[in-house]
Amino acid sequence: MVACFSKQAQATELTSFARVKLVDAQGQPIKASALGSAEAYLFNYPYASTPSFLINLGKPAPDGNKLVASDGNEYAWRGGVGANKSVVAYTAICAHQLAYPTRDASLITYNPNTSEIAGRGGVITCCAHNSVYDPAQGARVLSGPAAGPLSAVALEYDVATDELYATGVYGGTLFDDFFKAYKTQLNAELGAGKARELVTAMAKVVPFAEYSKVRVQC
Amino acid sequence: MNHNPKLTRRDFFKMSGAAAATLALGTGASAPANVQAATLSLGTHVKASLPKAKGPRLVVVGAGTSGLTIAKYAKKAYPRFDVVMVEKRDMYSSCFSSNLWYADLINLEFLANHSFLDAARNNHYIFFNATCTGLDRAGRKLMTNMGEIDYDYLVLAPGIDYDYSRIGVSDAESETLLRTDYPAGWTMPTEHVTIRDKIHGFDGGLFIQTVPGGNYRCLPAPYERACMIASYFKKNRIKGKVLVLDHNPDITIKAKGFHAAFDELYKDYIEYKPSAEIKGVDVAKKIIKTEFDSYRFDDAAIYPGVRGARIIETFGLVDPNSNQKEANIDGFKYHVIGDERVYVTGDSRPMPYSKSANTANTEGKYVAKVLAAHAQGKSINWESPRTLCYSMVNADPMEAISVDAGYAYDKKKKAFGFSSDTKLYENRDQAKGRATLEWARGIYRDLFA
Repeated sequence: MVACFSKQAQATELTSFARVKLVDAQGQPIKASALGSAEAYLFNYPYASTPSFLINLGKPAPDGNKLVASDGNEYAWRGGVGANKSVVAYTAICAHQLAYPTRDASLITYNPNTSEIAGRGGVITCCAHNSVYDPAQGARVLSGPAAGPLSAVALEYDVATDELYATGVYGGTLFDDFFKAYKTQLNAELGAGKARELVTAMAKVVPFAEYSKVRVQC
Repeated sequence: MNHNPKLTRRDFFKMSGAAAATLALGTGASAPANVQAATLSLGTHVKASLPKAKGPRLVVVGAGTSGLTIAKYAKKAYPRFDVVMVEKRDMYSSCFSSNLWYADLINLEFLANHSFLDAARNNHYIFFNATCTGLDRAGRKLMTNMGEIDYDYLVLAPGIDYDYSRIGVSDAESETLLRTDYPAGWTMPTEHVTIRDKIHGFDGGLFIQTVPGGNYRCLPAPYERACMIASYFKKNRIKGKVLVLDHNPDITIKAKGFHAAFDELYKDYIEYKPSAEIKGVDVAKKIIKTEFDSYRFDDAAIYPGVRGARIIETFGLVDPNSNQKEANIDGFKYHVIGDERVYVTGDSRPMPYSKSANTANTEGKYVAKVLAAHAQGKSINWESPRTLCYSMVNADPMEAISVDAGYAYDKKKKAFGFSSDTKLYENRDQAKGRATLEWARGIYRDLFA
């Protein structure tokens, strides 16, 4: 497959964004050990309009996966964080043709137990064109048309407080393509020019069910 | 052309013999000078008004799924390409997903709110609104009604045309009536408008949807359309029935899923007749004839056979072994046999792939890489196109079935067939219903953004 990177695409090494604390709807810090593993959580990062998955895989996800991004560059995934090294985060924008969760519905979902197209659980699937990613291995592509993994969100874990921070994105990003593809839609949804506003200080984490009314599984 | 009625001596010498030969004169009359000057524009030596090529010029003919994909991805793969898209339509409206409009699951904007200009601007190529009139492969020139374009590489992605002779209609009068009154609805957007109007204005009775033999665009589409029409009748309590007259011995793809929909959702609305090869149509009496039966319809969408677009034949590029007048190209590299500067892609290809958007889109990405490699004196390994194809079988609620197929070349049989990783998802559900819409939006994003 050919990468659908725009000319200004970010390289695969870490692109630092604001260091933000992951908090709940009331603004209280999320405790990593309190994250359930039966569903994904969503938070907007690094931009006000770009959703990211926060997933507790329920088992350690070691680092050391060498991945090739959509732009052909190699990078290393850093593994899960938390007491159990089981918490991971990825941009929830499909690396194939940019499907992403909206208020109304999401075609890209985390399937902890089972997926028809993957023949197993513990996968992120995008039902628009049947791309399957493995969140335990840096969201590498297991099958389907995606040219590369989902971009990884760099997480920082504070052992003392059991709290989580997002600090950047690595593995190549598709944000420029995303803004281009959805310009009118994002303007209608958020207001002109708001889509590119950066998230600072805090990012609100909600259960996936609260983020998207319908979560399509396949 | 300037419209100066005075033909100068220099102009006169610029006139080629061919142009002179095209002058349509009344018997024995000699044309006045202004007529001769006007006729020059049909001739050669008039260059299209295009910027000077800044690298190897890649001309793509046809801004459908195949052409738009290749224009974008060839430029990405090899930025030195100077890409010009030549398209005769002045407005895009997609053939894929058009069935969904008949049941009001989408509106016309869903299909047509996509601009050729945006695709060109976003992806750094030139959109040139013109109709091809000739091809000089020796001189690498494409003639259009807007002047000649010199090319280094030419991609022809003109899609399909209908072949009415395959349903026993060989006189131009009947064919023209059929094209106008009972269009098939798999080429021009204006057919979609007509068909939707037929369905929404249906007073009751029998609506016939025919299914051709051979490799037509696209295998599940006529059955999906039958479901959409039936669901509209059902929802609006129209006393109508859809008769699906199928040339084939059974539903050609996703048979289990379609049969289940016909039986479970549309028992009173769809009748399915396999092995019904059409032998003729009496347009005036509204009768379709098969070998053993005649069917009188109240309205219909009559899908004749499918062939490679006529321009392939006009340009002398038809594969002599193709019974559908498809292009004579290398099955792996897509170039015309003996000419590595001219390529034919999309639904005019002779390979037995599904004639569908996902196929053209994935194939286009591969062909873009082939072109980029050739321009740099390299070659690449063959990649199979992918046919991921959703069919909406219920409109209320939206439920779909799908197939996800690849292709493999069998060296013994010297033929392409489905690859072993092909999967069918024939249990209709709402997840696939939603996926059907997002699938289309994804392709639009890929072509235009």
